[in-house]
Amino acid sequence: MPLNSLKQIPASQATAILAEAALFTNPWSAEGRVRTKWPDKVMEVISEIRTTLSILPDDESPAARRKIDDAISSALDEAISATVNLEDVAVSLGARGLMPVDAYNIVFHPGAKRFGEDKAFIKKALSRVAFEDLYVNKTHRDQVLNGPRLWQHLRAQQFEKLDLTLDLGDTKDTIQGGSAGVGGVGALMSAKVNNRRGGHHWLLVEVWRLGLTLEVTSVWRIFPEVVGVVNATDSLSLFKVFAEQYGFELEIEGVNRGRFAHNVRLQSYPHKEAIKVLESAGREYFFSEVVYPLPTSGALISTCVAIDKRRYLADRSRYA
Amino acid sequence: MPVEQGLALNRPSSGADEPILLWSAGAFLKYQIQERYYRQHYCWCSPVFEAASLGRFDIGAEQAPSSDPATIYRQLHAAVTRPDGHDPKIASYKKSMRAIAIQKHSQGLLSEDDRNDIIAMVQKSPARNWRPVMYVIPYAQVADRVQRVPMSQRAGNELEYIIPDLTISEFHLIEMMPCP
Repeated sequence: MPLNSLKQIPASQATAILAEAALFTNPWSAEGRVRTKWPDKVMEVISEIRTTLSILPDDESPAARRKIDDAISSALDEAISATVNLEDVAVSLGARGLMPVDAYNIVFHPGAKRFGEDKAFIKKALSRVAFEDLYVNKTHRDQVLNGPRLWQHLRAQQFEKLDLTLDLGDTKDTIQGGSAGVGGVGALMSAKVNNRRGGHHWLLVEVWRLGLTLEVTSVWRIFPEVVGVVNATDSLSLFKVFAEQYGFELEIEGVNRGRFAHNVRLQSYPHKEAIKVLESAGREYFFSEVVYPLPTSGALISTCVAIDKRRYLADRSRYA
Repeated sequence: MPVEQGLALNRPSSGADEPILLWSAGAFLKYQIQERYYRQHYCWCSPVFEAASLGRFDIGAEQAPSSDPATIYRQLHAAVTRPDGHDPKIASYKKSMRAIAIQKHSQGLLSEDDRNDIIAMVQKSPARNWRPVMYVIPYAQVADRVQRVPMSQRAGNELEYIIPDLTISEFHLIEMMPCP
């Protein structure tokens, strides 16, 4: 509804006046009702809407208030959409991990180790993670908001001019501008899920998050009957105990990194010959790595595992 | 929602006039936005958890449903569990939350990027993000900042309070009945 009372006013101020009018008339909201920056203008807007909708000035009935509220809301919608591209903002929120899992489009990487898992199940399971995160007290608050457990970032690349920080253990290495390659952030997510015959286990999902898309690269099931999950406090430590149970040792550029390589700097990149899987003795394995090519030279292996295929699949069919 | 829980939780008086706890039901997204962007929570709260579980003549027994925390919690839960996109309470949250963000931006209290984040979160968040949460607020910690709601603004005759600047260390947040 174009409002004459806002015609001669700059767009940003008109939006703010509409917001104040919305707060003034919203039957549920007490916030913002007390102080208005432009009280006369707010009343003028409401008065114009009353006239347009043929609502008498003294009609304070719930139905009248609802109509006025709806009209202001529509006007506010129009004012916002004229100045803000909400689709772009939502993608940016998605890229920063600020949207709930339900809001993402889940896809599988062509080479994903998905073991028959489907998108709906993964989305449903991960959507519930927030429940476990939700009980907030002084101890948990930082985990919930400042260091979200839902997303455990594996690596970060330059994305939309944001400088993201890579966790390199004791040191922090900030990647400044101009990095090549696709944007996005690698992340681990985990959720507690029920077994078919009672009990529970954990679902660990490796994803690449780009805007509002989650590209799944592997989906692991971690069974407490086999894996020592007691001391795992987050997705990364869960991945580590999982790899220690099922993984083969890895040698990276001549150095033994154990069964779970994390935050290892590579001198050379591409690194085709840099990683050797030890002890496998011809046994098949699922290889999974997150490697970030550094802007200067070399690369960072954020995580790398080689999971014993036979043992993992046997336990998977036994306990799931 | 288990009513027997309400009985155990409804202990509004510490023996003096002051309650031990205050209760406030709201949407998870509102909590999230208030914490992330405002670092404080505007809470409309009640000393009574659930009026229906009190004795007929108890203080708080006549708490109106629109300001009864347990009732609000149930209504939000029902709205999220059976999302039809037209729940008036959620629609109202959406309207007021984005309006507040715009207002704070115009007052210089919020950056443009943060304002846009909030508007997009409110508009684009799936129904589950509007699931109910309950603030449990120990009264003693906030006693000097609690405002009694004037009679004219209350839904009924029972006491209602506003805490305009609650911080995260002053309350517990619980999800009594998770949405499926």
